[in-house]
Amino acid sequence: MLRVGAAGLVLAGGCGGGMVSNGQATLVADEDSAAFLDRISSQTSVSENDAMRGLVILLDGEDSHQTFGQRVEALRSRQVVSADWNVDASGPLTRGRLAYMIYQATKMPGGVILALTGPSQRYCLRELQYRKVMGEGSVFTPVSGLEFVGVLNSADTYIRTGQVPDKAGQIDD
Amino acid sequence: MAVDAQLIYAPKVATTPKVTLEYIFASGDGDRLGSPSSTVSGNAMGTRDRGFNAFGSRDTGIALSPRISNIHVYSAGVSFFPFESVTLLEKMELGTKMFFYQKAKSAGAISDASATNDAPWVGFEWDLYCNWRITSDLAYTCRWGAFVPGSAYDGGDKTCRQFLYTGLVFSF
Repeated sequence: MLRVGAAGLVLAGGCGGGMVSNGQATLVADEDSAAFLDRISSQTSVSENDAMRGLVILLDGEDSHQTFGQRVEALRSRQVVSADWNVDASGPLTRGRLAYMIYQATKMPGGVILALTGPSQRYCLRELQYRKVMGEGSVFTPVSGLEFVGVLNSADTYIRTGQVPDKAGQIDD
Repeated sequence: MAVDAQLIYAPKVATTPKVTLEYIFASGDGDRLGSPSSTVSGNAMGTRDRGFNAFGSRDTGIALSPRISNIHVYSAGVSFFPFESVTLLEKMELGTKMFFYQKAKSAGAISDASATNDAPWVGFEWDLYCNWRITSDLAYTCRWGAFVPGSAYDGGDKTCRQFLYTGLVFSF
């Protein structure tokens, strides 16, 4: 009986939405995509607030949202951010979360597991590694600024052309 | 001793063709009459064993698939991706390969115990294969080979041997 009760609690916790910490956190206002990418590329890690701005810019070309909470809600409504995630504006972006968001944002076709079970950080990362959008590394490793910019660039090319650029940034004719 | 030399020509053109030439040599021992690598039926007592024992494997054909010991293997192959413009089939590789086998020491055995004649010519093989990466986690492979025995085989066992291998790999 005790085990049944514990399982019920876990399921109940999983069904609720994830928490947003520091939802009122802001970023530099009126920062265009070039300035954003320039700032991010020199950082050793990327905050989730910056990551959300990057994803919004990827999808809309600009970020008109004022706070972290607004960005998260905008991306959750498009299913780019999972409703189950606990997000923190100052928390580091991990490779698993980046892969999940990029996979959802680009709507690229996945493998058998992704088709059967839906997106997950583990299999989105494997898919993006297979397509050479992301390099090797585990789901929980923080993403560097330079890698984040590279992934955004590949994702942007994929959205525009349906192809992932090679190491030289070229796509097939 | 053993040698493996391979030459691959892969021009960057449509269908990504690849031409491969390979030569494999592994030394043998003339008094290993039953097996090129095992102790039983192996090296004659009191003599030096010059047979090569390989760890791992190389592509030596799907039908004969000899172990790399007491043998010369000459091979030539061609492969390409004919359906690069079709999304589902873009990573399907079709290829063919020819193998020619010769004993290093004609009196010695190779891993196929029926090649008992004291003759160097083992035979030749023709392979056809298909490797298809369907999705990131699903791959299919099919390989067919036909081996025609040579003079190293006894007369009654010189019929063409065919082998078909197929597999589906799901990685998760």
